[in-house]
Amino acid sequence: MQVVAKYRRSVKVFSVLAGIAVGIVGGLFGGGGGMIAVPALTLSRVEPKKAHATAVAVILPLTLISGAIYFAKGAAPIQVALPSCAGIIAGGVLGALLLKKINSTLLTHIFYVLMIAAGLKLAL
Amino acid sequence: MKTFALIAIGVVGGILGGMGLGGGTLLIPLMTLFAGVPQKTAAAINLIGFVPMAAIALISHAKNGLLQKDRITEFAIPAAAVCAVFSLIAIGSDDRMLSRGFGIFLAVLGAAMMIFDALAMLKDKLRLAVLAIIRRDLPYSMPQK
Repeated sequence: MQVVAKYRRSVKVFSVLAGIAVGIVGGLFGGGGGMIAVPALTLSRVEPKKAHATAVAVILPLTLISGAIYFAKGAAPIQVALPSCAGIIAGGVLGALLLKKINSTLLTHIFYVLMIAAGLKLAL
Repeated sequence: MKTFALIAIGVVGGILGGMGLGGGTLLIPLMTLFAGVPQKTAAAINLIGFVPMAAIALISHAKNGLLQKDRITEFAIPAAAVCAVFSLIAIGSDDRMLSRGFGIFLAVLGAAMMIFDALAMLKDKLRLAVLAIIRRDLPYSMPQK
């Protein structure tokens, strides 16, 4: 029993630390929190499908909080926000429909390459 | 012109998000690099734009029983508190600096995920190869009559 209690405690500590990391990235950059939350949940022995779902539950309140702060401080002018948000919603529907038809392994690898390329372009 | 670019970028980010690949990770650099939007504005739009999609996804995940509820509180409470503080810090920071920080984050994370994936794939292949060898050798290693 002691081993189980110890394991539970270490999972809890890990979750809290990962939560802090997600909060820092999400707050500072306004995105990318999910990219940490999913692997962190998977590492703490949540199966991949559940990890994705649970990550959404973790991230949604964060986006509401930081979205409200960014918006209140005038970071989202309506003439930029309106067209891009409309695009996001339309794209989201399309993406959900496409999901069933596309080779996701290949797509994931392309996505990583794009991430690295965009990251280097921004950093340098 | 810029409006069309913003719609197009939104659609690309939305498709990636809808496929569960993390739309914001590419939406933000697309907006800053190709539409000249400041980092904080791109961040704000990423935060607001994905709320409807995330809400719909969350409802369907909850219905399918995919949420690990005990983990959510441990994770989300510290995350939310820290997130609020760092949002305020970001609002007071320079766009260029934030953008550079985000770039480093993206590049490092992308590389790390790629390496993890490659290692996992290698492990699978290795396991299959070992299994194949064991199976092939089994008849020969068995005592002959």
